[in-house]
Amino acid sequence: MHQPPLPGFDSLVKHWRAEHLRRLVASVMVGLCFGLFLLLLAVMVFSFSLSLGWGLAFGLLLLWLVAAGILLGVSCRRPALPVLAKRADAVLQLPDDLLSLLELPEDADEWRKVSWQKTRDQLAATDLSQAWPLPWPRRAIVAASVAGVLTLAVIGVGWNKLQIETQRLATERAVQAERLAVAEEVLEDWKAFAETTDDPELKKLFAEAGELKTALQDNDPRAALLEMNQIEARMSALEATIASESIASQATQMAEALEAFEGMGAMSAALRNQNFQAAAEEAAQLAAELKRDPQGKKDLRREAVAAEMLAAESAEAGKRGNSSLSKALDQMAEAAQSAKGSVPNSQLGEPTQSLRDQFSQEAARKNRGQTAQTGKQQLDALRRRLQGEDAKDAPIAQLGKSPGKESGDEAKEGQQAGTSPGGDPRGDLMHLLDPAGPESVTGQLGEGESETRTLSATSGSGTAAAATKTLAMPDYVELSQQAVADENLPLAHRRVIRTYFERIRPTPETQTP
Amino acid sequence: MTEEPVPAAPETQIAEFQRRFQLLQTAIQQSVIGQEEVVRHALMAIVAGGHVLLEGVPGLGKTLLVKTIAAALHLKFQRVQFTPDLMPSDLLGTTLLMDDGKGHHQFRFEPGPVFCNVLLGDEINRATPKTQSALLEAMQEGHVTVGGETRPLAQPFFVLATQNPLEMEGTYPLPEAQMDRFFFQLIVPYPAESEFTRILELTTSGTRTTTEAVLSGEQLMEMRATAAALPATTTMRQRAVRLVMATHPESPYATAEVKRYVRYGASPRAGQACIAAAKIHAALAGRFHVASEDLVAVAHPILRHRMMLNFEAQADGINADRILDGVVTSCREQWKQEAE
Repeated sequence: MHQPPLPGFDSLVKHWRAEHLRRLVASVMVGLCFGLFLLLLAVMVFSFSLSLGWGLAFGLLLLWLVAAGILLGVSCRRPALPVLAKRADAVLQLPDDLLSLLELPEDADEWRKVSWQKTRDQLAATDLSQAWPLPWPRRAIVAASVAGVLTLAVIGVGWNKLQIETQRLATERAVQAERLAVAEEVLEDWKAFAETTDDPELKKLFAEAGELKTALQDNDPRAALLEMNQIEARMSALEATIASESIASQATQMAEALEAFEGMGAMSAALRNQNFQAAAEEAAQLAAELKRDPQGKKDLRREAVAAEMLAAESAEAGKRGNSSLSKALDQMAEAAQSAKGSVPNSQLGEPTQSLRDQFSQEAARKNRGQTAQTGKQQLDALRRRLQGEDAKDAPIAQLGKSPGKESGDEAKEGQQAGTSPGGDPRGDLMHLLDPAGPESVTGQLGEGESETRTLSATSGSGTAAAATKTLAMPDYVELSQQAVADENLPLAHRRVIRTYFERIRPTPETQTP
Repeated sequence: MTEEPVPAAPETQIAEFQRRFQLLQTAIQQSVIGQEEVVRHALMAIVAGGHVLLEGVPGLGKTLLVKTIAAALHLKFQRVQFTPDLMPSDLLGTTLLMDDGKGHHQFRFEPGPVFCNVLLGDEINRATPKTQSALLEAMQEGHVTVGGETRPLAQPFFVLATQNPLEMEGTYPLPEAQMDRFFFQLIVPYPAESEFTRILELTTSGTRTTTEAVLSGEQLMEMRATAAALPATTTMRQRAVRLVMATHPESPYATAEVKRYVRYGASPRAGQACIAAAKIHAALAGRFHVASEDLVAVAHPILRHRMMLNFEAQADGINADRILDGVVTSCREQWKQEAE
């Protein structure tokens, strides 16, 4: 039979563990109080959300689990024999009997036996529950009570702050949802536009805005702003491309040159108004007319001036890299130069068709530019809305919806790309908001019948030029007199006009060089 | 008186040890009234084979105690009154040229009083250091060397010396080497009132008390063997060492008083004495091993004369016992903490 290392070993171990546990409870509870106090301070000082609330609950549980784990581990720990012997000797007032039993040398076996027997008898006669009392230390009770109170305080304060924080987050979420609703509105507008437009560049531009939607849905304002900046940069790049390719800067000069041709007045007027769609339609009608009557002729006034201006614009278009326009203008310049008061329809058919294409492209380009500009405005408005700078009910422009447009007035409203009723592949009329765009000027140049004849002193011989000038002068005089008579001009201006025409009146001295 | 053989069983040995010790103490206490602690410690030292220095004012029965012990043990007893003119040869003996009456002369060693079992050195501090030192070899080695010849002393051999702490005039304090050879230094206190009355009754009534021998030298040697066989564990030896080390001012175990008032601490011989005395104390307590309380019980008589106090201690009126109280208390606290 295996002999235990000490008499009454199991009972002694049991008592030692119980005593040790009671002592350790105090220390563990003091540590727990410290941890709970820090937790309480953290809860009181820092605000936290629902996710941190779970963390708080987990931390609280973890603290108690650690404390319980330590106590459980200690309660299961087997004491070292010398420690147990010393403690039992001290408590049971055994004069080092147990310790000596552990340490007695081999050669003292007889003495050890006697000591063992004596100690065993003594322990058997001792009531361990009375001789080794196990009261709970007062410190342990106080510490455990404080730990309990602190735990309740943490729970109470944490719950209260969690409620407040939850309410605050709900309010924030509502505000954010309002902002996101605006973003959703803009993004839906873009999505619808991307689905309907035939313009590949615009389709690609607005289709890529899905990442912005993802960032907004993820409630990641930084990513959203970054994405918005990128979209805006792409729109700016598109605007720059449009500006470089645009023929709008040549429109006035072309209009002036084309006015010399019979039947191109309306097209010229549209060009002056930068209304390239109307110009394209006029050009299409003219091209069709020319095609129907290839044998016919169109009158041409001021051939030389027209030819010179067309040649200059052709060169300008060539410089800008627009070879198609350059070629068309060049053809028309050649026709004008070779004309004798009229130009055969066959010479005008092809360049007119080419001009029609150019005007259509420019119309589409202009629409693209306006779309990009509207998109930038939407982005700017969205950015301000997300940053809370704009009121939630502030209006936001939409693609294809220009503020102040008049229904039925298609000549003034924008054109939606890809929805051309006339079969134009570049799209229909757009409904664009362009408050910063140029205002159309109507009722002046190009409206109604007008005729301009320009005499150039450098064209032809000097005699011919003088003769032409003499022939043209009555027309000028008549026109100027009509203009002075019609317009409500100040008297001083009338005098200046009269003096001007008197001075340019041909004299016998000026007829010869 | 028939002697029984010492039984081998430890409990029987201890019981016999206690019986004999009690017998001896009872016999002595019939003549020496009171002074139980002194008698007990003196007997413990004798059982351990150590020498005892008794210190007390005149008239407290120191000489009577030694005489009674010698009588009770049935041992050869010699008494030497130490005086300044006492010579070593007066103590150890001398070689004399003897005439046998037939014209032949031969040297013959005439043993001194040291050749006995119990030597009473009365007022030992009145002899010169030279004479005091003559006892060194006898006390430690158990033999003396005279005229180039070493002569063993009878066994057991004990020196029971007395000294008067008051009369310092014309005295020679014992050197440290000799003090260290005394197992115990016992302070003989003034008797209590009841004891004093009893002393007067016994000494003035005309009746003379005689002490009978109750123990032989062999029986004493058996008791010594029994005590020596009592086991002392490693922890107890470590505690004895710590107790002795605590009297050293440079030791980490030293108390504040030790560091302040002690010049030199106890020697390793004190540790040996501590264990030996503790074994006897344990046997008397009926234990079969040495315990911490045995070490504490014998600490004062073992250590008090082995510590050399400095001038500050003398100036402040601090004695060795007071310092030892602190040392013992400190050690107890330390051992108690180990048990927590």
